[in-house]
Amino acid sequence: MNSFKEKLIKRLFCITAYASLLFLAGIMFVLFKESLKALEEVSLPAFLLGREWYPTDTPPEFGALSLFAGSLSVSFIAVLVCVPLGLGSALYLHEIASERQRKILKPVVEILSGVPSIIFGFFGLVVFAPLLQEMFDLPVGQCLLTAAIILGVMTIPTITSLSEDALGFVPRSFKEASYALGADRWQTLRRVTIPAAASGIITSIIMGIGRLMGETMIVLMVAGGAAVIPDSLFSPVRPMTSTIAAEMGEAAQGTLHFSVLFEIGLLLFIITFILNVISELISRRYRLKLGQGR
Amino acid sequence: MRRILLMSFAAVIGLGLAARAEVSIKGSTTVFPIAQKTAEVYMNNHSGKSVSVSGGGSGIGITALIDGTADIAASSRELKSEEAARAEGNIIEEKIARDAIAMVVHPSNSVSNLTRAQVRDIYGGKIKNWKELGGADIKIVLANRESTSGTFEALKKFLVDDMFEKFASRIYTAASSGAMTNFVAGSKGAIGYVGLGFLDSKVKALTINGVAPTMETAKEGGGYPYSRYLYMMRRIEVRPEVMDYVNFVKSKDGQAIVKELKFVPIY
Repeated sequence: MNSFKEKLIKRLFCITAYASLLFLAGIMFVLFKESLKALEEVSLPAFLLGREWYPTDTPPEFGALSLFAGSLSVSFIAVLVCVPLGLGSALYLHEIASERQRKILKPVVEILSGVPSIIFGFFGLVVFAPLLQEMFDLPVGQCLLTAAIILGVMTIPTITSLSEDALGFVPRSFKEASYALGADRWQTLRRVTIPAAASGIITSIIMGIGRLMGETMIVLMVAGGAAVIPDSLFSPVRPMTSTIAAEMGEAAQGTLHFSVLFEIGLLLFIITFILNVISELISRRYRLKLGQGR
Repeated sequence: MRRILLMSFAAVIGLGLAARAEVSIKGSTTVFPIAQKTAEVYMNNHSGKSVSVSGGGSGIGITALIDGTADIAASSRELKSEEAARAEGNIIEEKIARDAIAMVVHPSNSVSNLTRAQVRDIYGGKIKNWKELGGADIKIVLANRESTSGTFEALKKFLVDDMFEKFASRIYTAASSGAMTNFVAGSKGAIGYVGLGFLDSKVKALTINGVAPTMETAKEGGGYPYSRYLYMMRRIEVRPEVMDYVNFVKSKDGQAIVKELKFVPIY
């Protein structure tokens, strides 16, 4: 009985360990399979470089460039918001804050990361968009900038906690050596700690971008939803994620539209996959560099 | 161990049976309030029956009905030809109410009437400023519903009937009828559209070809151009409780609820 139980438990854990792999393989398979129709019927240049997104017209047009541009522009501007703030707070937490401040600030950052994105979206829609509209005298508050700022704030904790971990990995001896050579705190931070943690920090930023690209609810609520290539910060955008979310329900299964939405999903998956691989490569290198071959 | 297994097995089957006594409705956000209110009243009158209502859009509801994951599809449009083909003649479209799509603008807008051709040109991006329509010099901000929305489908059909080509590309999308009125109320140059039941004082409804959207004008032959039937679609062969509920919606009591919700009754 006991050995049977042991075997059973072992199996169970084995299954759970491989489950993620199975899910990943399953997701990739389904994404490819469902995109096949789109890959066959819509030429790749028309899909990747076309600006006209009229999925329900007859004949439909599936130019995803505006959607891609939407995702890219929102993520890029959001990075400008979340990297300085996230990195700044990581540096403060790790280098300057007293133990008491850390005890307050760290949980606060973690709570921020636990706020569901729909709450951010709601806040953006009800509070921030009207504010921005009034401030800049815009016809409409839902735009690229609104979405990017809200997304940026949402991503701060990702950057902060990962960067803080990276700073924590820098061996004490590095800093001590720097101080011993007469460097002050600022010089040590700038010339020793940050460069030593650089790859970890870059990883955190890339992970942040991955999160930004994949975020759906906020952009659905506050980005305005127009499939155009943005020409200003106040232009409405329609990122890839919100397009899928908004149109999946209407597209009847088996239609070309349905398949094209999967193709967008595939594109998104490839982008985040590449980002993940890059960050994995960088972080591996960085661990080796610090002599922590884990 | 074995007993626990058996018991949980029985529980799963029991749950399955309990779920079968439930009528599930899925679909149009326009029909949603009708479905929800009639379901509430129906459940109050018939203890032990349960009706669950979820939104998502007419397309989602019809797909769910065809796939068998919903008993009733609430829809603000007829079946599309592809859907009809997939349904293989197995679906009945029950007319349960009429609805009108009202074109709405910011209350401060001085324009109060549009022709169907003007609406078409506004949404096509050919008319870009309210001054072209006799209003103030304000750029027109177009608002649309998501393509999942039955209201979107209906408006598009009306526009296409008027030789519409395609929507302007710079067009904002609102996720629901409520979001639409909020959007239009928040932007001076905005124009949007909602079902009659969602009109409120935050926005101004335009007359179309000189006819205002009201309960009377939305009736068949009432003169308001953007009006249509709303449907609850069901399979031909349904469980008695499904039929019972649909009949309730079409009954006098059901239609009183329809009217109460500012939709147009079918009789």
